[in-house]
Amino acid sequence: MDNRRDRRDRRPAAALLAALGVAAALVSLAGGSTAARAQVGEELRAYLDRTDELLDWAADQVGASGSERARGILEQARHLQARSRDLLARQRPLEAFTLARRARDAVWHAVRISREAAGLEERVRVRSERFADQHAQLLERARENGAPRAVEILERAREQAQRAAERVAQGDLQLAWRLLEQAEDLLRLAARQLAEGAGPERVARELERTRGLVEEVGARFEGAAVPAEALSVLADARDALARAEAAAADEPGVALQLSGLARRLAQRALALAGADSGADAVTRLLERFDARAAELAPRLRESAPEPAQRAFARAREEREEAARALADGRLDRALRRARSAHDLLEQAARGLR
Amino acid sequence: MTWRLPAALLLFVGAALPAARAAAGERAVWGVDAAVGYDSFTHAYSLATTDTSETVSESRAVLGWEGRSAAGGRTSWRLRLEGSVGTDLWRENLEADWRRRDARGIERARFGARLAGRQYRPGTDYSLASDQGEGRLDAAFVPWAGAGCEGQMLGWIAATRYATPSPLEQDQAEAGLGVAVRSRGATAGAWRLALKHAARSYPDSSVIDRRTWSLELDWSGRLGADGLARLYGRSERRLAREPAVRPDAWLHWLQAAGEVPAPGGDLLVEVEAEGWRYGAPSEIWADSWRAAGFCGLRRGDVLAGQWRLGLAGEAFESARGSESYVQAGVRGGFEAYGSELSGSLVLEHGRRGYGPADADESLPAWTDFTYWRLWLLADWRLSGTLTLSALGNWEPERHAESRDDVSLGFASVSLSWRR
Repeated sequence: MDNRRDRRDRRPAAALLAALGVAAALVSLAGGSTAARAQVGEELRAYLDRTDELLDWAADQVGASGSERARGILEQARHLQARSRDLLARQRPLEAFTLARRARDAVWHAVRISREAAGLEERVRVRSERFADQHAQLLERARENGAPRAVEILERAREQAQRAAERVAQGDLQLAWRLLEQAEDLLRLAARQLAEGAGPERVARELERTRGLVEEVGARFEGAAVPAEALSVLADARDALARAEAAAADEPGVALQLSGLARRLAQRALALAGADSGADAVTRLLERFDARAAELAPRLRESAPEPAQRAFARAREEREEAARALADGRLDRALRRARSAHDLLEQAARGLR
Repeated sequence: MTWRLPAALLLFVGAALPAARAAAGERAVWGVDAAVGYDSFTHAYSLATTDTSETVSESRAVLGWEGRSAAGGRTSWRLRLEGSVGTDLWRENLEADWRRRDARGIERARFGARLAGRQYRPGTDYSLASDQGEGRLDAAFVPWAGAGCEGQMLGWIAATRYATPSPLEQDQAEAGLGVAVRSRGATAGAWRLALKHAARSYPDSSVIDRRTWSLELDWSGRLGADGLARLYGRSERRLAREPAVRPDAWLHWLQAAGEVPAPGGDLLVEVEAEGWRYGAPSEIWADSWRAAGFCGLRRGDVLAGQWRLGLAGEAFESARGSESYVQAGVRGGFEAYGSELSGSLVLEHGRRGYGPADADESLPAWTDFTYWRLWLLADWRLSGTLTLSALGNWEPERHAESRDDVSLGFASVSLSWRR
């Protein structure tokens, strides 16, 4: 169903009926008498007078809104209205009526835009302030954590916010609002990258972790009576690691997947050899964490910047969480926490450089 | 006016640079970047039988220069100078930031400065073309710091000046003060509570001068064992100099987001609510509230490729009943951030339905519509220093009658070099 028509049908529609009356009169105008022409002229003048009133009413609304676009459209409405009056004066009522209707539509459009803009002006201001605060905080974190990809995304966000500010200066508040929303999307993306360490730099850390595990499994197998199948799976793990390293530069996603595969294969080799359990792996990770933390702690106490200290403290919290999960027998959770603790520790170490 | 701001920027840099270099010694990091790009904004709508499209497009070249202190020092600073020439505008930007930490690593003092200038070229497509300059200075001090939180004092001043002021290009000045308390150190969640007071004046239209009081709360932390949550709330009181012209108002704004592991991915929930209450509601300034949200699932690793799919909704309730609406849609997206190619694509499709129309036929009618939203971001790293970027969005509304259709769009493509 025609939605607009449906909505209008539910109204008193006085003006619409008047317009239809004018139109009907215009249709019969061609063969009408002088009296009929005079009547049509009167009705059309009444229609135009009402449009003048609407133009004045709309001017107040548009003027208060700060929307340059609404002003422009209202100006078009005035122009159409003036042309309509001119055509009526030249005894061309059909064309005059067409333009008068377009003038009404333009008034409608200008008021709609100005009403949207009236609220948007303040909303854009408040949101811009929030954006500036968040952007400054994230940029500081990204620089101190050495996250170049996040810095790039934040730079894009800043550019987009600048575009939004320029649209505000042009009175184009709707588009400014959209651009600001996109700038905020970019902020969220950068925040997520910082939280997850999802930049390509993460590939290097993942590879380092995998390399450590594969080497450690190899070291444990040396000189021990290990089933052939376990040795074969370890060889597959080494192969997957080599392919992950080869893919790191060009295909970081593939490198991450292969790196994960290499770790799973190394753990499977351990299981086949009966030489290890998940609990042992977590315990070793925690031991390595403690050794590295003891090495970093004196330097962090001396003069480390606050973000590095914060990362160090969070790393210790994660380590304790891992130990608790291990004690509760929740191995998956313990392993995740232990790895997270290592990542945070390395983040703190980078902050020292 | 056209020459004052660029000259001021050059003078500032001339004075600040030797000091910055001296303070930084050999540990400073300097870099330059350059870009050429093309931006296009479009707004298409119909006036009765005539389609109208307003498009402003601009090509521009940008040169930027940035220096900052190396990480780890007690004093840190950053300085960025950027200038661009476009087919419609000249632009200059300066951003500077200076911070000082104490022996415990607490940031005791921070100063920030931002200056921007715009000069329109003859024959510009922009409808408002008065040259302008704006500046802002921020300062923050931490007079007290405990083990888990610290107190902060804030202050700022800002001004905007136009070469040829007009009703939509008004000179303005703002000054503000604030106090805040925020978490520090190793807390499981980070939080900040701030109270701010600001005064803004318009020299050529003092009836719209206003003061604002605002209270803000920001919190982020864990949700359950492996989830994350973020909450931001702000209440602001606006007091107008002339309430008959611009009424006093209350704004309440809340943003909340959370993500928790779920079978097959992460469950995402985002909610935003906003309410306006005016001291003297009018036809232009009507009380309203708005709530929007998204609920969906995210799966995958952002480096290898990650998608999200969910439902988005929005409701708006206004004292002008005919403007009230309910909107619902489906939003899906894909994103990946690799070394060479990275980007995201988000698509949303939905429908908005308005409340009953006003009884007065001559008032505007708000008609239901279906919409599409397309949002694209793509970066192609051609080499270690060269990146080709594209950014765009397109939002067409399709109404029951085509003459009510509206489309908003933006597209940008640029080639950047950074060293």
